[in-house]
Amino acid sequence: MISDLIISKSLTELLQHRAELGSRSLFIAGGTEINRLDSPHSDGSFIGLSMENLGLDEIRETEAGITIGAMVTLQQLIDSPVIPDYIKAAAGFAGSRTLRNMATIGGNIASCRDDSYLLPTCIAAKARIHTIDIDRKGEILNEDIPIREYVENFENFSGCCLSEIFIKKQDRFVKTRRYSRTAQRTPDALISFGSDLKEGVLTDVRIAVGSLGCGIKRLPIIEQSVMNRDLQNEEQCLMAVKKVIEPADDITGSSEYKQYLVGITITDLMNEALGGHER
Amino acid sequence: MKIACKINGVFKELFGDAGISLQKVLKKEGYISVRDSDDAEGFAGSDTILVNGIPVYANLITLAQVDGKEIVTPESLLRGRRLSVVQQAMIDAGVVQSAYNAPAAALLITELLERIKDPTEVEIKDALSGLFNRATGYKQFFTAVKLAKERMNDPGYTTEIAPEFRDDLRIVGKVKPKVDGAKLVSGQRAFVEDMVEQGSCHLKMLRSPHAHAYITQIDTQDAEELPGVVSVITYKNCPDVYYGSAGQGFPEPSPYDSRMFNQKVRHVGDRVAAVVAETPEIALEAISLIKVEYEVLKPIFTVDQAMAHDAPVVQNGVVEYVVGAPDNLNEYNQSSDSRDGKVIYQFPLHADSHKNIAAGAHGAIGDIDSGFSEADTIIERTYETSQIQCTPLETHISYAKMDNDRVVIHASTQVPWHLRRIVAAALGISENKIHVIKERVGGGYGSKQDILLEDVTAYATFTTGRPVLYHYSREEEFIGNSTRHPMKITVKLGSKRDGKLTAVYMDVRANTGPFGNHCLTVPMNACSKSLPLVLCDNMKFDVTTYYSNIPPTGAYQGYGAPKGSYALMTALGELSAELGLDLLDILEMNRVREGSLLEILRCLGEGREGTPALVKSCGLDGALSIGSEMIDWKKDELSDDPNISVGKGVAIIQQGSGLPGLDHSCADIKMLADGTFMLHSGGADLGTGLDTVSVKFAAEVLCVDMEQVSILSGDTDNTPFDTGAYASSGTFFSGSASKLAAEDLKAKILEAAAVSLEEKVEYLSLQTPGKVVSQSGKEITYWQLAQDTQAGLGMGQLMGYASFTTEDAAFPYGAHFCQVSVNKRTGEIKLDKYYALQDCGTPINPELALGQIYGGSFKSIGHTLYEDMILDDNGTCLTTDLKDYGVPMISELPEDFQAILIPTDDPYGPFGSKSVSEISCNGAAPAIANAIYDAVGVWMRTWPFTPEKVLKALGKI
Ligand SMILES: Cc1cc2nc3c(=O)[nH]c(=O)nc-3n(C[C@H](O)[C@H](O)[C@H](O)COP(=O)(O)OP(=O)(O)OC[C@H]3O[C@@H](n4cnc5c(N)ncnc54)[C@H](O)[C@@H]3O)c2cc1C
Ligand code: FES
Repeated sequence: MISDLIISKSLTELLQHRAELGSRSLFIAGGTEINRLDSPHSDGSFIGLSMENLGLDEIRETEAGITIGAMVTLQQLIDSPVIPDYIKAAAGFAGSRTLRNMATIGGNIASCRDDSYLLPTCIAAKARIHTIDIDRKGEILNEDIPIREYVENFENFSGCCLSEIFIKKQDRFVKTRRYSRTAQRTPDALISFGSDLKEGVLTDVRIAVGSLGCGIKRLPIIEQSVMNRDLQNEEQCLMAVKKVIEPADDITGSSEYKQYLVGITITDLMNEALGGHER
Repeated sequence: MKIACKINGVFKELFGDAGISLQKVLKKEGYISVRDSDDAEGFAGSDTILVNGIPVYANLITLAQVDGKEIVTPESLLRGRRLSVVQQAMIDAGVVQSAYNAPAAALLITELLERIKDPTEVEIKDALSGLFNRATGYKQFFTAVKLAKERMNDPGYTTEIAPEFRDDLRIVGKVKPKVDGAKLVSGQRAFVEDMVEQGSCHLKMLRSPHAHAYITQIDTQDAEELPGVVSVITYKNCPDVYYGSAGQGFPEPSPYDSRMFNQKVRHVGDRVAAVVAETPEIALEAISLIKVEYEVLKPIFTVDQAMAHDAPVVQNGVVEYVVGAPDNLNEYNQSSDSRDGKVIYQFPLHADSHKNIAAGAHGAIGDIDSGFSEADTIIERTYETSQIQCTPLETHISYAKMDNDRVVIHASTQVPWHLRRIVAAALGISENKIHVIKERVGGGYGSKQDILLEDVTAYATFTTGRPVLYHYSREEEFIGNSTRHPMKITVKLGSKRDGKLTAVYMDVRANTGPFGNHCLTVPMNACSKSLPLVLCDNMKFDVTTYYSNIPPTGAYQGYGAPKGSYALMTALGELSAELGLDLLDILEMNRVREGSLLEILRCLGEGREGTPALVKSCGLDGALSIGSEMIDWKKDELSDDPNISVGKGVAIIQQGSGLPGLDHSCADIKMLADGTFMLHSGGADLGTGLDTVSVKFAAEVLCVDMEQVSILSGDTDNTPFDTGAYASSGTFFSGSASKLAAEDLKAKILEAAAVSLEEKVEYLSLQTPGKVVSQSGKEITYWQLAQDTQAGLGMGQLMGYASFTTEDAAFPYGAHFCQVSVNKRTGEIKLDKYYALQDCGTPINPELALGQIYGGSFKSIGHTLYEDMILDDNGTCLTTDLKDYGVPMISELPEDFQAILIPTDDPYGPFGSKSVSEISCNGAAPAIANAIYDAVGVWMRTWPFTPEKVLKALGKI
């Protein structure tokens, strides 16, 4: 439970509060992670900084791409005519509409959960995020980083304020498979595959996995193998996966089962990305 | 802090900590329909409200976040006392059952219809996707939305909600609103939590971190000294009385193997100490101050471990028998450990607690060996089932307070009278000092047949004089509650080449966990509700129940039947595959039918001598022929996707209608001064519609409308005795008592009318609406009759009374068919079609009967495919919330889900009725297992049938 909630009138004010209160404060977006039962922040020693009414709840389309405010809810993503289908599908991994009405894209990314609804897809889509901070002179500092970097270095970024998520307009194949016994049970595995296709060859491949009990992971070795056309069939994919990832044995299944899911899904999505083209 | 907002259109100022959940604030402000089912997990949706017009979970918002906002709660839907169109439609469609979060559902549907005038099924599913509903199986929500949508344009709109039955009757068999529907759907005071008074104390439990240990030291001093702590109860100061939690008929076929607190803890989550304090926060703080030291023992978790010759003994107490002690008892008790306490049997149950055997039952008809020697084919297969949680929306709750020298217990229970008896014994007081009031029950499904927290709550009140509330957390619901017994069942079948069975053997090994509540009856039901489905001269069964250190087990809808049916019906599927015959033909050849004499029941008497029973009605003919046509049984279905194979499966199922010779129900009914009626039923309505059944029966018999009959039920002071709502006894037993009480009153009405009209009784009859007519043309209204009898001169208030017991059995039957698509590459199973065809005799409330079938079937689809209580190596449950445990939601509904009522007319059931709900849980596992085999050629011999298991069976991993 937070001990107080500060509602700022502007981003600058929000960041000033943050600078002042430091790690005693917490950004509050939809609250679905912060306020739920196992929130690590439930001891009442934190001051909430509301992210509402700061203009972060808009989706803007430009020629270059789509900019999504951090406070856009998962349901707004689904309802928007400009959001790519793969992002909508990932938002839909939150199986409850009521939850989607509350949960924000910023809160989801900043939670960086192992079973993150959006992160694998965002990595595969090569999304970028904007973070904002304030310096001692009160000047706002903007940073623009690839989402993969954010996830890889999450410890450094955790606690910094996300303002926007950017997705380039691109003719890119992005698809995510979520394996779960029910729509709302903890998933067995999340596998996302993104690539460009140039003259029948997959380039710029991004593969990200989640819900394997070991955090959101990019699989750069496999990405490279796909681009090098080293993975010609399912068997090779399965072998490659076994070498690079060791999922946890947990309530959703055995490590072996999850490796298998990752292997076959990469095979399938790679083939789908290639479409009718030669490998 | 103070915030300002609008609630249901009214400007309000709210006060509280900035971070307190809005649900808690709203509840405190009197918006009691905003409930919580999962300690703010954000899963169940019982706390759904609208903030600025959008549905959200009130538990996941803090007070500070709604400053300046508009809040709408389900209370807004009621206009004065008038229900909204949506609320009425929900009642009419039969989706208001246990209804703990029905108000939230009404709000979601209202919001949906404001957003989309004519929503599709997909949009309805989307709108309700954040709402967990355990009782109804969701299906009738589509009807509710359609009704509401049409009535918004045309208030008089009506459509067939459910088929109606019995043209010869006015009320029975007709779709009529549930009598408590309005109260439940509109979120009025109905549940135990709504009865709690300001200033009540809160009880919290310190639970064991070890699966098996002795408490060597327990120091409660710091906790007791904490300001605000009222009492601390441990094994040292609790009553030295042994009892069991099973709310079964006395003397119970379950051992008394536990005190309120024991020196030995037998599962992770076992009771160690209770703290009673002024606030829940103080109670929790006090718990953290209790210092406990344990001598940790090796735990056992499986039947195989329990059977091992050197297995640790879970119940190593001194064994006593009330009757039937063996001669060598003293010798037997030599190896007991006094720290284990006692195990007291009311009568012998074939137990050997020092070998971890809690109970056993063995029996046979014919000659099993010659049956197998006659067989052309013999198969023997073993099936295993896992521990399953009932997950009622309303977690277990008990609220007790003193009324002079009496303890009043507001209970969410299926068994008010067993509760009173067990609590009286635990407290060492007589039953007249206890008043149990069964409030509306927000889901029971068997788990509220056990006395899990009422004993300690009542004791806390009795010893402190303070009102005490104990409300289980969702985690406690998993670790301190009854669950389905895990079982290992071996089935051996012998048959002729043509599929005719020559021998059937079932070996049931059940895991009862730390205590023996229901340890005989649940496992026996695995046999008694499956073996009589097939007719075979040679049958044998062995049932053995073992203690272990898993979280407690007990009753869950269907008792042992879902497990027994899974094993037997899947084994029949395996036999048919072995013989190369069609499973449906094998079932047809061997199945029970009307007129069959069920010899095997002679050996299955649930702790007493059984009797063979004659099947007086059996709807399997209709269920199998209609079902096979609906699913196009003979047709092979193909998928466009080469990875997917499609298969079909079937299972036949049965249950009982209460326990003849054991169950007992009473009711009385009074004529009031204006000629209307007040019915008092002992029956415990769990949301299933039992009160509606009773009112329908009385109204039918007395020739009045249902509005003329009010009901009070399940109150130990104010209604007569009833054994309770379990073993599918509601309609058959409690309903019969209400019907007979009404008939008794009818006789008295005729007698009184004979005096008033100066006519002979034989010339009189009742006529609708509410009058007595004579053959000579004279008549008297009930109003006049009430005046005549209650105005100082007459014969006094007319009252009917009945006590119903019987030795006659009425068996409901059914056939469940399904079609699955199995993805051979991923192991995923999709339920394309699920048809549940059931014979419940005359369906008394057809729409509620359908709801029961949908609900039961869907629960069993849950345990077949998704749900999993998983323990780690130390016995700690890893799946203690609804998300990890994996309850199915509306998104998991089979694509085509249909419940079909197959009416029969049972001569023993009231108005020809039989039970309907429990049986619905028995079909999914075997039907789906058979369908998976049909699709991909592998047998699923352990539930849940997860994709991983499918892949393993297919050799993919
Ligand atoms: C039943 C249930 C199941 C769930 N299952 C999943 C699941 O499977 N996968 C999953 O990913 N999530 C799951 N969640 C968690 C949660 O709902 C989502 O992650 C959601 O997207 C979080 O968004 P929010 O706006 O509610 O975040 P909040 O709860 O408001 O915040 C979450 C965290 O992000 C920080 N934060 C929020 N916004 C920003 C910002 N703009 N910049 C920096 N930090 C910020 C907060 O300080 C906090 O630490 C589940 C929640 C529930 C209730
Ligand atoms: S948080 Fe919604 S019911 Fe518990």
